[in-house]
Amino acid sequence: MSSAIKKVVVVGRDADAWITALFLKQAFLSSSQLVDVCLVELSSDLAFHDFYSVLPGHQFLHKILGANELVLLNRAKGLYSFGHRYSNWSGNKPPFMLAYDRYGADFKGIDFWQYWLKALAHGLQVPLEDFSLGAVAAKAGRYVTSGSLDDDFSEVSYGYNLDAISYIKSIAKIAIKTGVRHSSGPLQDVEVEDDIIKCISLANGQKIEADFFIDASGTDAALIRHLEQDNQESWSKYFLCDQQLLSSARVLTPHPAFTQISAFNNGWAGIYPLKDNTRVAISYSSRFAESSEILDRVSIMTGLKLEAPILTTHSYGVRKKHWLGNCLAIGNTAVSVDILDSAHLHFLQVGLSLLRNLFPNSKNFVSEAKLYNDKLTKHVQGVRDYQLAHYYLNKRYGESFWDLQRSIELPESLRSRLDLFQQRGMIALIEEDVFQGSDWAGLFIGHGVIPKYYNPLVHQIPDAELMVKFQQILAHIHKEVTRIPTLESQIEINLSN
Amino acid sequence: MSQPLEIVIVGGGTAGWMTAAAFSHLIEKQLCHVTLIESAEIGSVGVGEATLPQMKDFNDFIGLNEADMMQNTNASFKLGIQFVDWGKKNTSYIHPFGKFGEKISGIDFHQIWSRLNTKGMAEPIENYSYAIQACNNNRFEFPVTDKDYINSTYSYAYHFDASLYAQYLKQHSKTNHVNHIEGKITKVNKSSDTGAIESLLLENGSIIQGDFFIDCSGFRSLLLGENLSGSFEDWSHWLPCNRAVTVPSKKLQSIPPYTRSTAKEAGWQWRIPLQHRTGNGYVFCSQFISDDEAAQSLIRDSVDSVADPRFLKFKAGRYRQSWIKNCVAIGLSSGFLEPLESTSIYLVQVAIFNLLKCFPQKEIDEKLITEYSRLMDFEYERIRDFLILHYHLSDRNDSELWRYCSAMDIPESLSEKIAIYKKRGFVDQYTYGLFSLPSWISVFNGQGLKQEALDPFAYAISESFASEKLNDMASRINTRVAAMSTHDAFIADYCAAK
Repeated sequence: MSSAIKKVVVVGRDADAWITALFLKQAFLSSSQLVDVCLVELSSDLAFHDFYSVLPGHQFLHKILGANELVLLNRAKGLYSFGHRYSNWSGNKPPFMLAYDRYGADFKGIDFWQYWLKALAHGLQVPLEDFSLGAVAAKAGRYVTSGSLDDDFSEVSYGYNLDAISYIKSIAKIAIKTGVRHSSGPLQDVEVEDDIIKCISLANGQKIEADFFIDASGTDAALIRHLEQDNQESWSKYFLCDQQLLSSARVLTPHPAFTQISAFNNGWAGIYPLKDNTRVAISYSSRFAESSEILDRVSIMTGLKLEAPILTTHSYGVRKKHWLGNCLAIGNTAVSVDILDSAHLHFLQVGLSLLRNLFPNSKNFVSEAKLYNDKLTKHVQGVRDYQLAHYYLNKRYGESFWDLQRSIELPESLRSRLDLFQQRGMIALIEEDVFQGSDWAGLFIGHGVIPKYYNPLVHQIPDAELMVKFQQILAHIHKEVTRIPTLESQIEINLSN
Repeated sequence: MSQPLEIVIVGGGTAGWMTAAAFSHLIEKQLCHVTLIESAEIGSVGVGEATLPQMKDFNDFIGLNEADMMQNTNASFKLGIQFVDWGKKNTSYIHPFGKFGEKISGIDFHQIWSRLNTKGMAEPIENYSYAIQACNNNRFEFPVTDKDYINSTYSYAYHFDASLYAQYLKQHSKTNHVNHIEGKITKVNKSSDTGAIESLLLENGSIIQGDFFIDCSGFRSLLLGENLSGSFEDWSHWLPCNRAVTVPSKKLQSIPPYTRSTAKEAGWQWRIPLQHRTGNGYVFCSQFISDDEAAQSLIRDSVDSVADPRFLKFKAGRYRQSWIKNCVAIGLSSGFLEPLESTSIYLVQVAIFNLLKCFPQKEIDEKLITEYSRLMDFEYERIRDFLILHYHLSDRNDSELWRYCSAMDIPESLSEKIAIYKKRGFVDQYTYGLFSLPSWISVFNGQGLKQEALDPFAYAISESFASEKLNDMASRINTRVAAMSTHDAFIADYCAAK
């Protein structure tokens, strides 16, 4: 094992850098093969209002990091979020909730929403989300974990909204305590030989060699840009919002158990509740509006006074290859995505879990890099498509921004997924999809896509019997949701430090 | 609710009757009518057939009673496949329906095993597989569901007489109102507008109309291949065997709970143990051996054969689209992959389940066809790669077939799998499609491909801790297997043939 990786250097900032360094240190902690993990920290990009809104998979990441969820949530003034409520995306239609839970039960192995579609065609008035325990609980301001339920009817889970600066401070503390060696940038030079990074040097004169480098620097791409050519795929033709305003507002009482995403004429505003205040992120396109008018509009729409907003510019896209030579681009360096659907740290988490499986066992990286790149690319595509579908399926007719979003030419992967659903209510899934069938069906149906047909096999269950089953589900959810604690009382217990 | 769909199944072999059985419960619900046309003249290919554990899901789905089905088909249980002389002569290994060991501190078992094995601190990997140890001791019992027990780490399939199984399903489906017609199809009538099939003309002059046609006509592919011009994707450059000769022999004295596959000069020979007899067959490549020689070789290697040998011809590959217009081909009519890993019936089963997912309507729906094809494509490709692996991963230099196979170009998807296993024992794990980690491990390992180095995280536990765990696993397996009932006794008690 003379060619084993003995030293890994992570160069970057904020969540991507600290979490990656801690993750690797933790993974090698008890190993009989010593792997040195160093972090070269670049100046933080985080501003006062910054927050992380993350998917349920982040719970698992905390476990692997050896981090205590409650401690972190307390330090980061964070809150549980059971899903997203989308308002005003479809004309006058009421808002819809996309919770981290499935819908109903799949009788006879057929997706529940197929039965719902049939009932809808026969005049059912109950929205699909009412068959999701997670969605009903979120709307009712309840706190629920699947472990606290008596049966496996629900797969409910939660993500978090976290204050970025205090969250990263806590992670950094754990990382240092775990043994991550830390130095500070800025970076002076990157030495490349035969498409391999040999060595980096810092402004303070320090030179650092390593076997493997991880670029967690974000849009700078401080390392990987030295190894690549024509490696960018831009999504600016899909995602028109290039401006983001971040701000804070007063705390919401009681705390909502979900994240609110409200569309307005030129973009959308996300309301991310934290324990002591509320973060607001507004996405819009510079082609259609100025920040001042946006702020006024969002203030009126949300009834919140938006404090000291900070404007940033974004361009979304992905690197075609994330792993080149001995350098892996992780998180925001690999993919720059819209923040809809709490995708903030999702690719960091996916990247790390792939890296865990494919961490190079020698200095020949070809097989690992190929597989990693293939998998992450497919993974990214699924999430991008999910986000894009929100924009594309809007029904805000007569507003230039939204009209344009509706007219974009969809990538083939989303086109075919949407076509199949429109025709038949089916979702074609691949191995790398993070959003599952019920997530996609909830998204499409929420935005008003009603398939032309449903699977005729739903007729196996006679109408009367189906109605009884539906009522049983609604009653069951009602019973459970009244039984479980309110989010407010759970905050008292868990998050009052 | 619209009019029931008129479904016409062409062919009364295993595929035809499995399809009829799976659809029959929809008849009562007025979702479809099913007519099955079977020609008495056209024999079914049914030979002794080995299956995969998924077979039980299918049987449960159509509501069969396991013991009754087994009694009626002379069935025995199957815990894996023994591969003899593959990779190298005078070697053998078992591909089990079960795990090797278990993860230790989140690390894959095979990584830890490999780490200890290079230091001479591990027993052979099969000693950590419950299913393999049960095979080696000719024992069988049902697995338990409680994951804390070592005897929960396997699943099982069947060996049965496929024609008896088809017969059995026939009775089962008949009770569920399948319209069964005997007759020979002389003409397929297609719509001049759409090219879809409208009706079938039988020899006796009757015309069978339908909305949707399922081609279970076997190798002939009467509807899809002959009448809808399906294009065939030839895989014989990867899987060169194109003939089989079969012969039954007397029942084995003690019935092993596994299939045996022995690699031979120009192909391989199966042995499928049933309750009343044993199925044998030599799958070979006609380029390297004549029919006569193959038959002689088969008879020589099949103890106490009881009938004359029968021949089959085929070509490895599949129709690019197994659903064209208003017709789906299921079974041999959609493609053929040799039965090396007992995938034939599995492919029938997934085709049926996928067709239920994409249940057709009277109107042809291209989007549904696309999705069905996508679902079938990766099933076929995963099986294809896994089969090619057996041929390709070989040091046998003793005959032309083996020299050809070890030198041939293989699909990129497979060469990547081999490369990264060799480099670090990595096996990609997937949810969709056949063959999980233990399957790949057993063949890689059994055919002599060693992982050259470990996953770096395999060092996360100490050697002594790992060694202790391994010893414990092996001894738990030994103790429990020794307490199992023999396969013979289990069959006698549970499902003795009538």
